[in-house]
Amino acid sequence: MRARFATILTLIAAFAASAVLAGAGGAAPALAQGSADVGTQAAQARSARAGGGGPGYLALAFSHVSVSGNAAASGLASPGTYLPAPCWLEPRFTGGDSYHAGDPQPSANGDADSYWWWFASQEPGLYGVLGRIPGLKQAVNKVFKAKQGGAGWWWVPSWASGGVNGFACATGLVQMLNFSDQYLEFEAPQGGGGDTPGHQIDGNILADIARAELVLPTFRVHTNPAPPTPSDVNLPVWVWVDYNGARSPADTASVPTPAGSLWARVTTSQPQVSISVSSPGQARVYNQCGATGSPYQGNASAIPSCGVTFLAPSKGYTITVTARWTVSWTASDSPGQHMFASPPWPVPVQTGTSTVTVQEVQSVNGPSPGA
Amino acid sequence: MGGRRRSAAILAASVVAGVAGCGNGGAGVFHPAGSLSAQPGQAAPAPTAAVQRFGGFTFPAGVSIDFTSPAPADPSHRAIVAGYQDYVLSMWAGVLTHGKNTAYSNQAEGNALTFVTREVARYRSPGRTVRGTIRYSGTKVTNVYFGNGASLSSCVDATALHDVNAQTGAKVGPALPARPVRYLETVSEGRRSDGTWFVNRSVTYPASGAQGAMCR
Repeated sequence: MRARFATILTLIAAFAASAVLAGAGGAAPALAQGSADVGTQAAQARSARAGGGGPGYLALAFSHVSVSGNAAASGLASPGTYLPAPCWLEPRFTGGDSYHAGDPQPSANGDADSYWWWFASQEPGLYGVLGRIPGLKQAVNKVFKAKQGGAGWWWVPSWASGGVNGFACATGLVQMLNFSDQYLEFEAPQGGGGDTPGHQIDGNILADIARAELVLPTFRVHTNPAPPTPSDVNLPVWVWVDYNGARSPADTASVPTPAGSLWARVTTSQPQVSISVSSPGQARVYNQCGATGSPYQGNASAIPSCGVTFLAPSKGYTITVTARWTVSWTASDSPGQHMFASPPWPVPVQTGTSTVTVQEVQSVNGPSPGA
Repeated sequence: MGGRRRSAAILAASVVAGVAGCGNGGAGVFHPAGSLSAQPGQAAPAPTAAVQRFGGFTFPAGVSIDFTSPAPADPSHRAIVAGYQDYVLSMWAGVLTHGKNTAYSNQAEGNALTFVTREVARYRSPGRTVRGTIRYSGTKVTNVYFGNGASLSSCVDATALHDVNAQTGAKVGPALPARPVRYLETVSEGRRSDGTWFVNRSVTYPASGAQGAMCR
């Protein structure tokens, strides 16, 4: 089926080329929609699903990938986000959305035919040339019309829409595939993942999306004594944390495919907390902090497993608390636990600070009895 | 996949794409490898000095579009940078001709074209133009995808380029009022079958913000 479709598009392209070379460029434009208008509407990315237990479709263009759990779309919107595959091929349109009367539509989200034309509009000048070739619109539409109602799916480029990397990647994919062979397929393109042609979505790509959107919880640092109460020299300061959100966050990215749901789940370890101080030479640090540190138990002179004893007074020592996680993933097509290495992924840490004042103990020696 | 079948498809589509690219002045298009105007701190070039051109358009004295980054050593990266510079130069050619030079429509698409079209329209009146220097620095290719798509970033400093009265030269305001005078511009580019590159997305970040801080 793929070979036949490719052949048809090849013929269309050849037909278009010969028409242009024959000097048919002066014909009236066959396409009603201007490329800028089509592009403006189609380029709108999905917005976050409102409410509920977490974001849904997030900052992904022409994609049915959804992310649930401890996730935020902003993870994809930052230009510094590491995402090894910011675009991929995805089963986006069913055979029932191959073609509709009046195609191409102003929005490329509606069907495969409109999507094809929209992407053709993303190369300057190309859309206009295609529009001037007599019969080309009908010829292209015929290809999609023939598939209308079929049982297959159209695989199309999708991408992360934050910043420019996702669209640059999709542009590279389409330009490489030359608007024809493999660019828009009625069945799964060749496998291989990564940078191989076809670049179809798989568990690895889904895991990368879920990792990029994963939200590690911030936390509040507690100490005893609690500021503004000063601590004393040689008196242990207890340190512990309260997390704002799940202590071990996890999220899942999934996409419907003809073979059923494809998914990847990203999970984190329990956090490992450690502390450091601004003047290490003037402190004894106790760094057996576990996931939460050492909540104060009521015995001020006991030594905490997570805390610090300052050896000199100061108007402001800074205690920095760092929580570190390890992040791993599994997927429906890739069982077992796989790790995200840092680098290239950002180190999964959160930090918080507290400022502690330490005073010299003032011992008062009163007169001894009977003196 | 049959190699011959794919080659046929590529060949045919390439012809179409090649035809689409006609008229953009590909041959003879100015691909600056550095600044044609004075470097910061140097005197402005005399009228007889190197003249900045884009295609058939000659930039007037008093306007300098400075690209201060050295050309990348990698030829493929150099072509990507050239695509960005053509996009920039085509916009200013459109502005300075009050919309008569439309080469920008073959250098930009998507929201990049929307931006350029709006800025060119702002200077449609012959009574308005721009004067001064705009500087593009730190230009670098950040990613290349499949050899046919790329992202690029560049710091833009428009503090010395002004919207002016074309007759009197009096300053009216900043040349690009919709943008901050210093910002980070990131663009998406695509490669045509003839090896030239075009811009089809632009996202900017003010230098005053965290994401554009590198351009302060």
